[in-house]
Amino acid sequence: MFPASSIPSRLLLQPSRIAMAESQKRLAEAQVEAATGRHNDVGLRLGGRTGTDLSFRLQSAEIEQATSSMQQASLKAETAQTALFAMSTLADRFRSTVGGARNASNGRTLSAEFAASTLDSLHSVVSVTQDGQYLFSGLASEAPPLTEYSAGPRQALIDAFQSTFGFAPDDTAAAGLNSSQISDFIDGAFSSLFTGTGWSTTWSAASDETQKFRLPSGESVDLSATANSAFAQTLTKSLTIMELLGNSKIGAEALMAASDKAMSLASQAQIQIVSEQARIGIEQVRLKDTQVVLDQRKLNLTKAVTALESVDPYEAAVRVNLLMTQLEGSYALTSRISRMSLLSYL
Amino acid sequence: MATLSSALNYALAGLSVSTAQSSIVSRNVSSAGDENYTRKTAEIVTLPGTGPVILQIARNSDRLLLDKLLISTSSTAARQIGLDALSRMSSLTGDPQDDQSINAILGKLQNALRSYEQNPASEPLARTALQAARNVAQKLNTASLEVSTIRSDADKGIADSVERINNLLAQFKVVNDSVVRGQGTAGDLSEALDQRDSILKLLADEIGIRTTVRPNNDLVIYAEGGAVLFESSPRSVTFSAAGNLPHGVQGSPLFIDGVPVTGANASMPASGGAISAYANIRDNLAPQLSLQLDQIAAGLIAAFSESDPQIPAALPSVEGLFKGWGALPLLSDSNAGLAGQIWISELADPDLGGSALMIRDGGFGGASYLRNASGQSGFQARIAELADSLDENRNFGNSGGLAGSASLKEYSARSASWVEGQRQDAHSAFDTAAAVKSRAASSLSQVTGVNIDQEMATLLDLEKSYQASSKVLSVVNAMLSTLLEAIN
Repeated sequence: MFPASSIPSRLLLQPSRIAMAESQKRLAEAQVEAATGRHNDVGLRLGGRTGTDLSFRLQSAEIEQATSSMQQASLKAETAQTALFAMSTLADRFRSTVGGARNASNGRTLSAEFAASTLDSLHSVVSVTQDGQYLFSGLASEAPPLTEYSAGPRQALIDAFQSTFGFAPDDTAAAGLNSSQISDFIDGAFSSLFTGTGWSTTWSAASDETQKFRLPSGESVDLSATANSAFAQTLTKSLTIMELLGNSKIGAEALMAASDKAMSLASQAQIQIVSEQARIGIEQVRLKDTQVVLDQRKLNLTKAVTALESVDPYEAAVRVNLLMTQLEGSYALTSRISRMSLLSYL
Repeated sequence: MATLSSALNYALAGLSVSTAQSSIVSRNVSSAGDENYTRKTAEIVTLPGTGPVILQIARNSDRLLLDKLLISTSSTAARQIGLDALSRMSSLTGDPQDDQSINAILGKLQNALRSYEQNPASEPLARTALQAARNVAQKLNTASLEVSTIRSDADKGIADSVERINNLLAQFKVVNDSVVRGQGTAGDLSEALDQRDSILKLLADEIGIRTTVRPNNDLVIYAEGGAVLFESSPRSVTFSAAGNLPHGVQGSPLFIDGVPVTGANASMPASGGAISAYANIRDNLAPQLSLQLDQIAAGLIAAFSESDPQIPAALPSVEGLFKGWGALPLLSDSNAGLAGQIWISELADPDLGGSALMIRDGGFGGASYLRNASGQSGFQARIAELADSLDENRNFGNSGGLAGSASLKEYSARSASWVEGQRQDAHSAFDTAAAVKSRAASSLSQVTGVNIDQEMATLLDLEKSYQASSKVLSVVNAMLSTLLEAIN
């Protein structure tokens, strides 16, 4: 119905105009893709899979968070390990000093003084902090775990002595106490201040429960210990026996029984500390293992995100070249077609 | 018996036809760039005794191709508008790498809580967690506002479109009347017909239309779906714009001649064109996304709610860090508008005299809801619960169109998937529609358009015949002169 020659003049340049607009748009996209290596419009490209991509990215971020938490947690564990090691050294030195001083002429004062200074050291070791939090205080992390010996516990021990025997430890009447009376006192009224409510009212501001670290799997890992643990009670008891009774007026035989007790408690404390260290050590290994798994997972997630979002930058670069050639062709064509008019020849 | 005077008459007729034809050529050339212009040609007949006369001016047109163009114009306009709205919705998610989606911001809240759980005594970490929670609430507020703006804009779009339709129909009446009146008379109707077709194209942008031709070239316009838009006179298209559409409130339907053509009660539902796209955004897309946001807000409030720590619980559960309408929302409800109104309890806001450490201790509902009643600085249990609550499965119901149970994080990811999926579909549908329209337009233009070279060639022809006719005149003149001289 119309002759093939009658392409309307308006349409003559339309194909190259449309092609140019299209090429320019695609060129801009290809440039972005070549530069970033990612799809120009990731959401449009992924459509219904966008949620999957978001989840992958989120899991990645979670792993980063978990990794930094775990670094903090293992730092905490190391701090706890160092403190426990220091306590074990204190116990060891105390035991050998007391043992060595037994037969010395000034052994009594020496042991008592050493016990007092070790108590001070123990207090500072057990008050170790991280991020301003007392590591051995459990949930009550803002207060030092143990009360200083001189700030109350000593008086409580003296009171216990007083109520058991009817006189104070530095009373001369104490010289009349025999070794079995002293042993009974240590195992009875004295010991009750080192367990349960006696311990928590006299000595400890810490909670029984420790702060836990939760692995990404949801399992709780206990990387610290509280001052309510047996090792702290045993060690404190061993030291205070020597400090209180070394400064008292009890006889040499009774003191010998007390120092036997103190020494055996010190080595018992050491064993307890080692088992605590072993427990934390196992948890530390678990932390490291988890970290390995997490690193691998993060790697996989990054790969998955890349697979979803990225384009081949080389392919995009080739596309840029191709489109530029195409555009130049369109420009050349446009200028030639527009010159092609009968008007020029009339 | 042919005479010199009849030769003169033929030559004169030839001159006038050539002049008229060159005027048509000039018209064609001058309008060559107008896409609504159709090429005109003179239909010439030679009557016995008078020579050639112009019977009428014909225009190149094709009803079928025009109809095709009208349909594809409507669908392209609709797809374009739908795609624009979906792009706005998708900008709420943004590029996944920018971590600005609701999903990513929820994740940041969870991570902040997990860090805080590691060091519950730390006020700075508590504040970080609080800020992360505030970001979630603000993101939901702004997203909800944006979706509601998209919806109101769509409502405004319908109102604007209705105004244009009514204007176009009024113009159409004038042009159509002149066509009908002029039919069978000697006047040139081609311009009026061009104008009528161009109004149809504009109309198709606004609403899908079909046309039928009645005697006297009278055109009747129907909206897709069957409602009559124009029959001898325009039918009234009415719509009451809401101005601002609150969440969960239905927009008013569009009426053609008193019959609703959008909404659930439409007996003759309109399709295609700006109107149907806007109606779809206003009545379907935006409300659905809005409800998804509302469910996320409801899920958050529920996740952070507090229950009576006593066993058995004597008190009802109450809102915690995230607050909404006071009562705890139920996920089985639609909770329309909740996302716009979720906020962070001032009890946790240090700037308002609260304490961020309440995240650790609880007690937003009063002292009897305190979880850490003894105020232990290292209390982790509540923070751990909150962090885990974002992973807890909930049944979000079907109000947002995303059925099944999911965690808050999953649900927000699904919502992003829903938007982007819709956008992807809309994008490819738009590409297809635009290609069809471009093809239809070019097919029609090939029939109706003007080729300047061709017109120039015609002009050369005309010039020749004009010269020939002039020559005939001068020859006849010379012959007559010779004759007269002979007589003298």
